[in-house]
Amino acid sequence: VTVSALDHGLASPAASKLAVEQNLSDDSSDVTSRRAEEAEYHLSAIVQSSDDAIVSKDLYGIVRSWNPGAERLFGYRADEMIGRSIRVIIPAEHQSEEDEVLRRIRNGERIDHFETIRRRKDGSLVPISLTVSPVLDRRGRVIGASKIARDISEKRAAEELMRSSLTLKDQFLGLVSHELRTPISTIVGNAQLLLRRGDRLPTAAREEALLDIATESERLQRIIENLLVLTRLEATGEVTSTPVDMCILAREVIESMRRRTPGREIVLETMDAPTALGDPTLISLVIQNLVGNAHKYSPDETLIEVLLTKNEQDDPELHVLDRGIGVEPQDAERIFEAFYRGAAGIANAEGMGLGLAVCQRIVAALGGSLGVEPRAGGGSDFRFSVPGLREFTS
Amino acid sequence: VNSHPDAVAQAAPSDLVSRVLVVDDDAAILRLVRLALLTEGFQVTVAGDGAAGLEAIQKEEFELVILDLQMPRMDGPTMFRELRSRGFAVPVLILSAFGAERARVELGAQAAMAKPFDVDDLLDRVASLVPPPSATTE
Repeated sequence: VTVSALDHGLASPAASKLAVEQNLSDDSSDVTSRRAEEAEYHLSAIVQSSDDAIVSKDLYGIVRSWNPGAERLFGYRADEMIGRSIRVIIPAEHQSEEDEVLRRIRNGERIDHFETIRRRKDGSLVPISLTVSPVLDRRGRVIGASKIARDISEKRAAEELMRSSLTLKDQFLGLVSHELRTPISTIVGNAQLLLRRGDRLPTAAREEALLDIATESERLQRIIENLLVLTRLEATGEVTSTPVDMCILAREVIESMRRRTPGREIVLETMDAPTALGDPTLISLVIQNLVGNAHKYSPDETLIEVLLTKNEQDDPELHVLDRGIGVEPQDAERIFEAFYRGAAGIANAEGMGLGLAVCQRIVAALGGSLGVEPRAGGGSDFRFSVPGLREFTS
Repeated sequence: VNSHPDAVAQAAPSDLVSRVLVVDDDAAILRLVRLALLTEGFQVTVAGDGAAGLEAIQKEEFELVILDLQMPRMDGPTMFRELRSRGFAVPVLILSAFGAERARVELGAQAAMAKPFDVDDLLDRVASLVPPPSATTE
């Protein structure tokens, strides 16, 4: 019964009804005729309203029916396609598929959920999932095929997204494991050295080994801290908000930095900075990352300046100024992306491109802003601001 | 390569202290490997990248080079090829967190070891490539 509606190449239920009447006009019983008519009409309406493309063709691949779903999917109107070969919508490199489809249909076989590519009227390609079934006449002979095609662009896009996010995840894991292995090598190696061969080492060498264990453990801790904050902010974006004296935080960060890298000159200058409103642990992590970067990407003998001030909105703003390698204009936006590292950064220092991404997410979560500008005379001026505590800023 | 004067000098048994060049961009790893080698009586020179490593090898003779792969300025594979093209046949042990064994095969280096490494395993491997001075004097 389905066959006749499809097989007559009809584009509307009304026309289909007409065809059904013609087809069944020699039926003897009026009641049977009306029931069949209603059933046909019903089926035809389903085809008409289907979101999928439903098309029928004869054994030579000539289109016999073309529903509105097919019009939408392929861009051809029914009157443009009926009577033409289905090969019109098959790209050159997929033409052999049609030979195979027709061969199998002639043998009465069905083709289920075959994923392929078709060409729309405007020339664009669309990925589809295709089901082709043989159409039989009343005596059971194959007289054509019905095709149901579904647009799978979205599914493909989702698969593509999944693949690229898996690639990103692999990159992430690669970077994390490299970044974690390096300090672990030092910690494990020095511990073994002290345990098994400590007696063969002079006191100074033993102290050197212990210092490396301590320093690299702290490095591991910072990496893990950054990763945890990044994960937490990605998941919830929630931060606490309390009044924060950024001057105290900056002083603590600089003190701990001086302990780790004695000899490195870091100065702190404050100019009536208002009290900040935010999460002190997170703000401290931003300062740590920025000062850490300034140290990493500038020569040891140059000065790092930390300047705490206020911006035009009277919000506290912290600058970290260095005389380092600077940031190339093409990198200025991307360095805040997780795992992105500028070419100069890769050539000059170890790292996984996590610090600035963490800063960016923290500052965004706190409702502040973060940026970098080239510094007159060379180097970079990284600055970030967070909302100030209004009542306290008189 | 064996015809190179340095190769001859290195191959010759000597009562000199065995010298090892360690090339790695991580200062902590350099300190660790240096200390470990010192416990076996080796004389150790360190370099922070391939370029510095090449410079060192032109000034001094070494019986072994311990080489990291990923380094700024000049990486390990580049330094290795440069070393061989200049006729230095000194044995090279690749010490890297990733792809040490693959790099050994591709480059034709003498040995490879992954980071993190066991200090005693590293020293055993070094001993198999160049007898430790303490062993020869015993």
